[in-house]
Amino acid sequence: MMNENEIWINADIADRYGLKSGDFIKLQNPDGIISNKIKVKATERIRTDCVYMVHGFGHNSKMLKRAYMKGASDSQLITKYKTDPLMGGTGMNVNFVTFVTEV
Amino acid sequence: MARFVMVIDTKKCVGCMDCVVACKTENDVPEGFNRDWIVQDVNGKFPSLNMEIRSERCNHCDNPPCVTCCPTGASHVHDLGGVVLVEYNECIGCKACIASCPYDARFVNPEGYADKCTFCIHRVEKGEDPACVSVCPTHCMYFGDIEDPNSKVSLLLKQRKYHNLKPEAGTKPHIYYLV
Repeated sequence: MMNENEIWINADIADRYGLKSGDFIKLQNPDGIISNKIKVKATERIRTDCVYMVHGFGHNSKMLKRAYMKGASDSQLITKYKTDPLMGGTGMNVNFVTFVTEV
Repeated sequence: MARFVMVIDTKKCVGCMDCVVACKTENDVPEGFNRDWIVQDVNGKFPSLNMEIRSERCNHCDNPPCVTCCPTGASHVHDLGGVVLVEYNECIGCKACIASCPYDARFVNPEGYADKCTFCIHRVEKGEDPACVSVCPTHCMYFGDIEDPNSKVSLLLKQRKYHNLKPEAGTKPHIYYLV
């Protein structure tokens, strides 16, 4: 029920980086992957050491007319993971991002 | 005389937006506009936070500024239930009502008239509930006559604490949020 996803950043952290709700940033992970630009949501509703985004955005196929280039992809940034050889479950809790403020 | 109101239990609302979808479907609301919407009202500083989730819409006020400011009388109070409606053919699209509503409940329909929640009066007149009330999966929404002391809405307002939106605006809104 949304046009694009937003990156939820703790309000104090957003202040520290000079970011406010509505600004656009990109996210970069330690493997050098840089996401599409995504709208900032500075909020009290998240802890200081995490950021959150709704899954399912950041599509880069022009054929997805309504979704093309809206928001960013969380799965694109999850480059470090291990897969269980028996049942295929994934451990993904080791992925980090920094903010890229020039978009 | 009947006076229709809505009573919404904020403790049961999960913000699923079924009411928003139902309204858009039932009333053919144009894309990009909403007659009702969900608000997540968060207060406090992490980690001591509280949140109220509300389904909001036109409050069908007793003292509606959108009616008093209308130059043509298109915006009016219906004979049944105190419901505030717009007679689309008489609306000239001046947007005075859009500006006057303290709840931002109105929008300009691309066809050129002011549009908003009608309490699904076309359903109510047939004895049905408004679309939003009838689809709510947590059954947190109630519609009824506050002038009937035995109606569900009257009983809820006697039994539970509640609040209205922007009482300081003097509009006497008739959507009640149970807390």
